[in-house]
Amino acid sequence: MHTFVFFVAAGMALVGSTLVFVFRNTVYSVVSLITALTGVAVLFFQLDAAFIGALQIILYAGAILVLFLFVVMLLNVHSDEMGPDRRKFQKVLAMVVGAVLFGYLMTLGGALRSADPPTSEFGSARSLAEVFFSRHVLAFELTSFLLLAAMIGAVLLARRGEGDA
Amino acid sequence: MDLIAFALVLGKIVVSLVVLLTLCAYTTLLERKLVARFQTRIGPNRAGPKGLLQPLADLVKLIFKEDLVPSGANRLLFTMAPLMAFIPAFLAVAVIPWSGSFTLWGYQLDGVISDLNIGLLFILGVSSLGVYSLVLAGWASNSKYSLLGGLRSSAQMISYEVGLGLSLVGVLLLSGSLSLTEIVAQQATVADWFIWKQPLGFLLYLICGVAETNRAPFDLAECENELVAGYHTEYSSIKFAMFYVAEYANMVTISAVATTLFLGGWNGPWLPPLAWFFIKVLAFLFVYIWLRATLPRLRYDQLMKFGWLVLLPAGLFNVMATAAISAWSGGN
Repeated sequence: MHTFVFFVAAGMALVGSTLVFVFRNTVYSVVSLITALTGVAVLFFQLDAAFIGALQIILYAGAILVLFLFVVMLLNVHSDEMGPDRRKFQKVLAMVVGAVLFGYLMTLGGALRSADPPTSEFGSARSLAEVFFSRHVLAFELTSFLLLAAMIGAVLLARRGEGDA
Repeated sequence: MDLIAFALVLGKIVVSLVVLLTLCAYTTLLERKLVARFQTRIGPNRAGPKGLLQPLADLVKLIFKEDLVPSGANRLLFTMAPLMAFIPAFLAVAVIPWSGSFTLWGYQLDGVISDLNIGLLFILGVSSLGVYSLVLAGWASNSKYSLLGGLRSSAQMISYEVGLGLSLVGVLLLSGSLSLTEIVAQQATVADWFIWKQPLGFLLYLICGVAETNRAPFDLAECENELVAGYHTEYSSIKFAMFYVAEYANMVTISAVATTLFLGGWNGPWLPPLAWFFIKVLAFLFVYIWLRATLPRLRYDQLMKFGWLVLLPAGLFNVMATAAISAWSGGN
């Protein structure tokens, strides 16, 4: 049963993320990305990291991609207007970065196999909160500060059009 | 897990889905009957005794209607959108506890399909996926009313999701758990119900819950005098039925979460747990219908102002106050 769910979810993630760049229709791309992220969330649930899985759905699938979809839909760029992609160096760069990331993952896989199995508390909201608010409290607070600054900046930029009233 | 235990879990899933579908169908009848009473009419009374077979007649009628796809519509997304409304609406029941654990044929069973330790976040996440159906339906229909309706309702749902999440934080602070089973277990007697400790939280949840399901007086999505029917203007037949059922399933979910978090879940004297659970859910659904029959619709800018300038600060205040009081009294 576990294996079956794993293959369905992994298939969703892989096929979804491939379709993101196969489709020329941007709305289809966003929908494929949603599929991929949902697949990843299911994998998190399977790994007993239910908290992270839920956050994955709430933040990425439920909030950020809705904004993506909004932007894509309101711009409504047709695929024939985009034309062929002329930036050759991007393809080369993407391949290099992809290869490096793949190699990195392979080494990680070896390291993980020798690691201890996770405890029953692993990935729960409580254990994550304990780590966030003790060992990583500075990084956590700095990140939230950064997000706050970005939010205020966005509000400011959006309001500039209103004649500085 | 042996085969019988697996079959029992599967049975629980099937029974839950069937019960939810039936509840949705009969909520439509309840709504029509009650609104009729509120307006001193009689309501549907022809199909079956006292109109009790009306949902069945509606279903048959909807299935046999012509399935139209407007010209210029995006066929694939137009078909996918109702499914994307339907599936998340039904996923949420997986974590709602409708009874304590009980014994069936010698097997100890929990009164919930899956007791996730972050059940509440699961519900919030899954229900936030419902937005896509509105956006995609509005966009794929290639119709201005659908597009405007879809945009409106998705903006509304995103805005009120914030308030909905905040209104629940108070209960989480007091219970110290995200597991719905655990939260219900802490409300064993009526005095322990979280509604007494979180009156503001409950009120905010009620308002946001109504807005989140796009129901009157927040049904701007289908504001018929401006938008015909909003995002599902172009839908007919079984696809329309799916949107319709999803709306009622969402109402049932919101009611079930309210029951679980604020009204003590399946706890109650004398009657069996299942009965208490359904009594409370139905009472909440009654409030939904009552509101619809009583209040006029808000204007769109009023809705947005209310969400961001009233509900959000009130929700933040509730979180702060709850945290301060529970820290003061030395709670967890």
